[in-house]
Amino acid sequence: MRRYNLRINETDHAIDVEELARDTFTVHLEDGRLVDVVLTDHQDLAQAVIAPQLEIGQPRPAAATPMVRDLSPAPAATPPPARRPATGRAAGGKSVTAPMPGVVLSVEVSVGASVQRGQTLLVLEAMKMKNELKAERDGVVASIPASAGDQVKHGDVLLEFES
Amino acid sequence: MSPDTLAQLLQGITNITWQSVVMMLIGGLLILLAVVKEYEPLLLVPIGAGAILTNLPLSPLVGEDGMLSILYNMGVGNELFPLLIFIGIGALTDFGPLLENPKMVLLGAAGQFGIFLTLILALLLGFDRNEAASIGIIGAIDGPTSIYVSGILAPHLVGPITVAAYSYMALVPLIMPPVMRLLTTKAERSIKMPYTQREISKRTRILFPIIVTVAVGIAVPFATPLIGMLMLGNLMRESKVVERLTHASANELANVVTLFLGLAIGSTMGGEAFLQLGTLAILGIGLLAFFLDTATGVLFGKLMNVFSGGKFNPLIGAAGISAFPMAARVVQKEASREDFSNFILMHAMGANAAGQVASVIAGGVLLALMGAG
Repeated sequence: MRRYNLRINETDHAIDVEELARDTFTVHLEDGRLVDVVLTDHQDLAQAVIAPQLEIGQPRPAAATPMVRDLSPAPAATPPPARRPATGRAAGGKSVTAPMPGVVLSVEVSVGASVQRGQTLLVLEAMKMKNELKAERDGVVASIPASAGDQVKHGDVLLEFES
Repeated sequence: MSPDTLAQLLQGITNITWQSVVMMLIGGLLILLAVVKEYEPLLLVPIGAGAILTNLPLSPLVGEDGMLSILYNMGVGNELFPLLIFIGIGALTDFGPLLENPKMVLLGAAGQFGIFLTLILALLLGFDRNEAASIGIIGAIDGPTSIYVSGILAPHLVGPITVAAYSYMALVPLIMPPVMRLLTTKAERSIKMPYTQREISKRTRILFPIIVTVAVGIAVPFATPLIGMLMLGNLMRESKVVERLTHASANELANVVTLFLGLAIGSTMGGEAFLQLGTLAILGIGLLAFFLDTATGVLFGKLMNVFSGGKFNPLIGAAGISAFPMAARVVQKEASREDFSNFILMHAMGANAAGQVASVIAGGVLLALMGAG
């Protein structure tokens, strides 16, 4: 999930975009509505660079970022690199999110631990079934916002990797 | 001591028949499976015990005032017990994943084709119409539905049909995966599906059981008892105002009735009636029904994959067979076996809940086709 803070005519708005697949998104509007969006096509039109260049590490991309730029399925062609890979949730990404609603049964790693691809990070119980959430990449655990017993929703960030 | 007295004292021994010994061994086997392998222990322990108790020589537990016969007449002969269990199932079932993804209803329907294929096979093997329909209902892969339908159409087959249905249901984690792997490619099993968590309003959740009951009741009157009790349990669950009743239905009531039901089913497993070639045929066809159901479910899933342009994981079709919620878990296990980051559990649960409803409707359709009254 990525939050966009937009200022339109001096009024601030926040829109959350949740990536479900490389071309499917759910946009959370401020009034609580959810809009399913399918990205059918996108292209750069001649000389019309509309995407402001957001620097990596900038804490709040506060400007009006056209989502299409950020969610490009071809990251190589997009100026802000490595911000969020376009292939599915957290595929090798920085954060591990809940693939479905459930309860965190246990956290198997601790902050600072270096994990390898395939290693179990957390156990999430959903529909009375235990699901092991495994690391999709090697990395060092930066933070674990989730703890055992937490009720989580689809898309909630459970664990984040360093860089 | 006259010879008569001696005969009376020894009548327990003299009345042992080879059939009753075999049946006691079968009862022991069911208990063994339940204890060692944990195959549906809640049902197989009482059924096994019932079978042993019934087959002890001159067992006073069966017969006019025998406890097991009383239980049978109280709740299996007249279909009360399976219906009471359905209240509990409804109270335990979360239709949320189905409401989030209503197209899963199609898979629930597809998972029932095995019933009719099995029925045809049983007819070919020489069972009469009612018997064949009762055997076919094993393909609904839902215990109470099987008991309900066979209890009406062919009461003398309730024993073997129940044993087949519950034993194979316990074996779902072993029966389904080979079929699923045979019919799908690695690429198909690895298809990831986007999942959106939609908030289903309380109103929708409460209206759903009522609307389904009325719609199904009008369309398939024979299914009214089953769907009505299932949805009553669900209505109590979703209304959130009768938590005590919901809790009691899902726990105390379901547990007590399960004990009674198991014992009563076990009491139908008398030696002479059970030990026939027909029973073996039922066990064989029943297993086939599970394979056929899984296969039609997966094949329908493949069809949906074609129509969706390659975005539908056909494994989910296998969850349409009912056997809630085990089938959905097996689907998830197969998917994560291929790719550990693939989570299709919520989709599978939707199909699985649809399969539960579809099984009930299929049972009603079958009763209507057979002209049961």
